[in-house]
Amino acid sequence: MVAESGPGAAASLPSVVAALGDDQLVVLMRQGDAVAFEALYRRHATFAINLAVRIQGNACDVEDVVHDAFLRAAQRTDALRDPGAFRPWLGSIVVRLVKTRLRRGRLMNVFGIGLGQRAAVDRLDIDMLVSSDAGPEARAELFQVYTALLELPADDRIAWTLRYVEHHDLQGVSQLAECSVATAKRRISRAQTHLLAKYRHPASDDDSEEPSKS
Amino acid sequence: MTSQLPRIDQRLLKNAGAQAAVERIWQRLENEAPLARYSRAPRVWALALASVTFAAGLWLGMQLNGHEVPSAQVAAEPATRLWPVSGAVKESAAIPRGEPAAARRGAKRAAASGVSKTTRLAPLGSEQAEVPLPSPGPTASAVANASGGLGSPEWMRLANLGDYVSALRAVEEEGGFDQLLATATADRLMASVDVARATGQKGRALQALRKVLGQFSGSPEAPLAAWTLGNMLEQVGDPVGAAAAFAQYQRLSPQGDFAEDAVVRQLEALITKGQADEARRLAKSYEAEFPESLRLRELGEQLQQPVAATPETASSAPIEPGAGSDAVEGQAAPTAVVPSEAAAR
Repeated sequence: MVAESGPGAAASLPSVVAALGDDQLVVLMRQGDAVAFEALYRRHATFAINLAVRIQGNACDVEDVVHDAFLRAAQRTDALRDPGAFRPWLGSIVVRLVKTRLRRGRLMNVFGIGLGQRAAVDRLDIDMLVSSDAGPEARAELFQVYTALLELPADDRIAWTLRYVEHHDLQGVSQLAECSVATAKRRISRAQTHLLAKYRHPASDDDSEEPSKS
Repeated sequence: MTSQLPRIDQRLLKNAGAQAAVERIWQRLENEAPLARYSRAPRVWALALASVTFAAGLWLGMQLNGHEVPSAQVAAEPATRLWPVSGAVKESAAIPRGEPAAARRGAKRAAASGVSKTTRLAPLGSEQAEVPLPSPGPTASAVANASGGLGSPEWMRLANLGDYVSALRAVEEEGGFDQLLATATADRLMASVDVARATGQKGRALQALRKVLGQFSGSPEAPLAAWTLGNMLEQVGDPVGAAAAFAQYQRLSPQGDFAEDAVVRQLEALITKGQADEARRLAKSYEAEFPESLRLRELGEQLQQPVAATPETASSAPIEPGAGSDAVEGQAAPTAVVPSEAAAR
């Protein structure tokens, strides 16, 4: 994999390291090279943060999630069979951590404890999701979509977000969500059905009116 | 996406990974104790050195072997393990050059198929093969077992090769399953479980698993036996037995790889049985023990739902020893007695 320079790329990294591919950096990281680890971190941190925010629908504790994800990646680097696939592997760790948080928050609520946690994890923060460049209509559309998404079980919500917000193909969704392609399809389909039932185009005032096509 | 939902353009999404956030996380990561082992010294040279060494070794090997396939490639054949295990390369290299080609091919095949269900995965952090290879290879024991191994019966050799039908035939020729169950050690019993399951003899497999749990409960195979038993009983609709087996797994291996899954499966079985109060109690201890669990919410939802089955109705479909895979008839198998059986023996 050719090196990509993300917004987090640090000038302090030796250029020779920054130019290495993920596969080479992973090999170095396995040998205990901190510079390689930092290069991987800076290359993929933004991806990890955005992934977590877009699945959660807010930025609650996202820095903790990303921190934990990289820590796990560092500790379990031997588990990565294809060193070139560091990014999807990291993504799957992020997805797993976010899913854990979502489920724990909801379970706490089911058992009548941790109400505050659920509120924090499941709260939609549209300002963290939508760019300031987006117009009011796009903002309203995203608000509707995410409001409906938050009602879904974590698995369905994650699968749909990966497919239609992050625009991964089905293979990528299954890889990140650690499920089969068939399962990913089922989850996306369930989420899609739910969203279609809930979504009304912002311009449409009459509920009986067919939502306009984009 | 259908035409009714808006297409979400990523350009409209905010980039939450601002430099400040990236730096904050890095500051924390940099100070983490587990990362202290990382050296700041650049090791780019190590890659170059490894590449040169590998190329030189490859060239030398080809020269010495008269362009035969280098032995390292034996270990690089289909990756069937999650973790590299030390010794694979050395064992492959130890196959005498004077052996006939067929024997060498056989050894390679055996090596490639060396991961039978009874072969244990090397634990995380185990020593790795000395030569960096694109994919891990088989263990020395797999090669030895598949080649016959010291004192290995024929059926076990065939089982290690993955030829379960022939292995079953060999078991029958060597006195049958009953004799095997009476005399086998724990590891052979686990191999016999693979043979039985692969040939549709679930009853035999359950017998062998119970034998491991009953007579060899202190053996390294016992936790896996409990886990497998739980899975099998769950598959045949015996939540009572499955819950007991998963509970036994937890007792045998509280820190094992499947410990969390075992609690979840036990919880699911309790829910299926209709024991909601017990399930809630277990769920609370589960939450405390595995706060990062992936399954908590789903289970919580199940606990909120009315129970679908009673212990009686959910009770097991029976399995007769030696019956085929579809043999779910007759009297119930003694599934709920897994722990007591083990204790009694």
